[in-house]
Amino acid sequence: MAGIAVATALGCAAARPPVPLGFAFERDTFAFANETVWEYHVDDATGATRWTERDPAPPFALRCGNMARAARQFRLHAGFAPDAPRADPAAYAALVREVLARDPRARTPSPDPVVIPGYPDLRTLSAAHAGGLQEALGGSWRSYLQRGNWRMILPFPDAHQRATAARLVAAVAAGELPIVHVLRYPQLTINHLLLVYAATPHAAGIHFLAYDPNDADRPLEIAWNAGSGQFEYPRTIYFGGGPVKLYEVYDGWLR
Amino acid sequence: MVGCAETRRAALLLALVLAAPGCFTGHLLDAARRREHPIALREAWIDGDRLVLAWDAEITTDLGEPLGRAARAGAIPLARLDGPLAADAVPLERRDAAAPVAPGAARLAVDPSEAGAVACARATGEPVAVVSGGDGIAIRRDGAAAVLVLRTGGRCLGPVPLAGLAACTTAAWAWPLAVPALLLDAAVVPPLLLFAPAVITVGD
Repeated sequence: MAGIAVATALGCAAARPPVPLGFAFERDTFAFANETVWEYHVDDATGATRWTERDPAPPFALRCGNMARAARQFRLHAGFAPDAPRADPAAYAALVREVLARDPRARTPSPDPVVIPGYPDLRTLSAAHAGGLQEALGGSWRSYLQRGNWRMILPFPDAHQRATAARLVAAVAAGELPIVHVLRYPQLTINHLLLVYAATPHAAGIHFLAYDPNDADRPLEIAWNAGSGQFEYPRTIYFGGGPVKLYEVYDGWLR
Repeated sequence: MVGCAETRRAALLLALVLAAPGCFTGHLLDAARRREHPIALREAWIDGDRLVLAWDAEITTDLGEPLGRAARAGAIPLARLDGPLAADAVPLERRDAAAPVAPGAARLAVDPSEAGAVACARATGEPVAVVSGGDGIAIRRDGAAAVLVLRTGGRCLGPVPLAGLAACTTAAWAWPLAVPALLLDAAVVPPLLLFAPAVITVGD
């Protein structure tokens, strides 16, 4: 019965044009984090970072791109039916694969989302089926060979970064979930992908909230300093904090 | 022999492509970029029809590595302060920090305050520059909140986001190197872009 109700509701939704969705960190992100291959040692006073290799190597690492992309795919292409009966792990694996096969570059929700029974959201699904989801997310090559990587070899003038900040605000206001590549190339002190889901303009710039696949507990706050024309990344367990460059990926044919 | 020379040239180009960190000109200009972030407002004056500010700036590389500090000054037309200014649209006229105002300019008290709106609502008196949202008169590096309002003659002018005092310049040593960098890019960047799908970078 609940399944019929959900199907009816989804059918009604399908009859209307797709509408922007909200994004809630506690609901729409994975319960597990992408582990870092390196163990980072950030100097509290200076922010200087050195790193050593983890031993043993973490089993689920180098998947920031996979996770940011998948979080967007789940938000746009999956519907959750918490009251429907739970299925077996194989059925969930098939449903997850179906979600991850949908267009990661879509901007609006699917009119025919993949319905996942028995769970209210991605957070609870990924807590219950962490192993299956991690397997379905695929190998680290998906992050390494992200097609938009070509952009990082070219300069990021202030005008580009200002346009990026404006584009992110517009995208978030339209209910889109832009994915950004964060870097300081040719320095490799940070080379990371995030999903941006909120933007709050203020007198001196913009305050962005992003899903950081490296942190399952809290969103990441990035500041756009309109005066200097720079994004400022906060200090985290893997980066000492400071100015970074951003560009959008999973956006259009070339990125 | 000709074939051999061509092979060597192709091998050299391939080696350059594989070793290249990308666009040389872009990285050159990035390395030469100098950024100034206001870190503390020192003094303020009314000089004719201008609000003149003097502040300390931290000079950094493009990636935030500190290079030193410098005194800076600039003027903003009072006529432009009749409403809020965006941080990237502060109409700042740079002035010599050693002599920022003409003799006789009225020095303002600089009052660190909790909130600009509250400061504006307080009883008016002598003109005062009220800096709010920062830590005292220090300005946060991310420019998140520090703004300045000018309370004068029963009016409250601004606010001016102090992040708008930031500046960006390019060190002079970069320009002579730009020509060889452009030539190198002309050879390396097209094949680099051709191999773009294989641009692999290790990250976390």
